[in-house]
Amino acid sequence: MIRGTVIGQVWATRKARGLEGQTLLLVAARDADGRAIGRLVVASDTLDARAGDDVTVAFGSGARNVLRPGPDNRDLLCDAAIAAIVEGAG
Amino acid sequence: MFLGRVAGTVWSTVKWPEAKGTKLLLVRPYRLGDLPPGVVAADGAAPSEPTDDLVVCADTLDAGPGDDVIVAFGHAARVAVSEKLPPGSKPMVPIDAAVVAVVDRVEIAR
Amino acid sequence: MILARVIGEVWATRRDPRLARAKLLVVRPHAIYEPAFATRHLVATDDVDAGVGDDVVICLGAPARASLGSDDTPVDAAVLGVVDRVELSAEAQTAPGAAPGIRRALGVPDGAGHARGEPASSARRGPSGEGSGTL
Repeated sequence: MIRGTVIGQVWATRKARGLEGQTLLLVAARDADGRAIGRLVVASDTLDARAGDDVTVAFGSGARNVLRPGPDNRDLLCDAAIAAIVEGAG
Repeated sequence: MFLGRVAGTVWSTVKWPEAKGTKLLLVRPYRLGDLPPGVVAADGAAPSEPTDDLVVCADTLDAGPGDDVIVAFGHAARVAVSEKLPPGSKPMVPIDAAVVAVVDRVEIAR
Repeated sequence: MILARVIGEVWATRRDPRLARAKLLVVRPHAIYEPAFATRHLVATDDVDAGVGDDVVICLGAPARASLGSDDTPVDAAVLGVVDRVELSAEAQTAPGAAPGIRRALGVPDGAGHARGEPASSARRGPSGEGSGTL
């Protein structure tokens, strides 16, 4: 997973069926020291994260587990999802 | 997934029947440096220089050069391409990136 | 997927049986989206008979396993096809973006044989060598 900051949201009408109903947030990735590294990620959100929130983003099968945990989620169209909203870090 | 700009097209003879006829687009991911300054503290952020990170993506939505799109990687890309295959077919195609949406609007918080 | 140039081949008799007799090519990515790849080359399975000097499309990661017919194969990079033509669009550089304030001067990547900012070219693949061809 990576850390990042929610900086916005993305809307699209023309999209794959599997994206229907997903809230897509734009996240600026940060490194271990909290510095923005330049990379932008579009991630599904189920936690009601807002712009300015520090979050962790899970990728791949971990991301699918955020939307629907368990082994039968291979049909989900999701490769990145907000896994947690960070309150503090040492 | 990443947000990117369709920069061009790749024509290639592809062997797998499931992937035959799939349009391949060249997409350049947007980076933090492309956004208006001040969105996120700029320390360490990569500058807004054209980089060589062009990604070849399967396209099932008829996106074209100049469109802003969302691209999914990995297994999600196979799921997206499989939506166009007959129901029940296994997504056994070697596709690791696919355009999954054509963007209408992006809102960046200040 | 990424675009890459075939620069060689790897021969190996002792190999994971699931690789069977798949050809193994050494390719140099023209552009790569995985920043960890500092070696600037990959070994990819090839089932489309690409040759040294060919430009190819490489599929990375778990979906590359499908190239040998099953998800059980130890493959993370596979040649998807040989490139016939690449076209970079000039209008992509000037079309307004969906996001307010996102402006990007889209240049042609290095190695394309012409300078940044020039109009798109759709030349066919040229002779192999540094900086030649369409890419």
